[in-house]
Amino acid sequence: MRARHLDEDTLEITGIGFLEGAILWRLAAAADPRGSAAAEERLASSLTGGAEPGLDEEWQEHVLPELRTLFASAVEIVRMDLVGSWLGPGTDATLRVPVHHVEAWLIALNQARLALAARHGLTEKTMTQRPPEDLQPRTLARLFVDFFGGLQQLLLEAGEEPSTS
Amino acid sequence: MAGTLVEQETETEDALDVPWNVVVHNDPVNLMSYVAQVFQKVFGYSRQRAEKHMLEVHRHGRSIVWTGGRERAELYVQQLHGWLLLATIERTS
Repeated sequence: MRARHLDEDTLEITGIGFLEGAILWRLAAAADPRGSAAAEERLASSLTGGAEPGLDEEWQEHVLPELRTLFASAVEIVRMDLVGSWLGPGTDATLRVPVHHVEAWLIALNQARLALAARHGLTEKTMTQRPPEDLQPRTLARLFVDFFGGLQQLLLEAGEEPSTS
Repeated sequence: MAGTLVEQETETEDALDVPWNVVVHNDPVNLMSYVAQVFQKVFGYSRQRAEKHMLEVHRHGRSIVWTGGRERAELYVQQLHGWLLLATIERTS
């Protein structure tokens, strides 16, 4: 896959293969923490880590709902971009992402990576080891996390390059 | 911690408040390049300063990325949480 500025307002990601596309279409599901206490906890960090219970309670009541709205909005933007700008379905698809959506993409991809890692107990050690050659859910979760991370890196690098138009 | 970078708020309104640290904690999942870019976006740090804090998080498990009044510290943590970094506030000792 490659990412480049198509013009001032649009990033184009080309060379999205059949399997990569299949993973990408599962981003919204991967980012959903429901059903895993660990994933829900990771996406709802406290203000003081328990050191100041009163402040953490206020945080949970007033700030976390706003953050959840932000996360849901980011995933929805990604979903709409996938639906609206996915070109050439099948092999070697191309995706066009409005530049002003890149932050939403970065957040949604990170949300998916963090939720998957928490849900499947991926640790620093397992993240740096060579993935095992089996078909356990944890192995597949690691594959998704790596793929979403690769796409994040592409977007970050493309964002640092000047527009070619 | 020796070598810890501390960003000191100097505005008068915050100087009257008890200082709080904004601390970012290590996370094995977040990309290092992503963390550095978030520091640039949230705090307006230079790339070099952002990368110093990112490396401190990576190597030492945490970095104090800003110190100042509580209200603004909470706003920064809210932004950092929006980017899904692990961040907390703590009273300065």
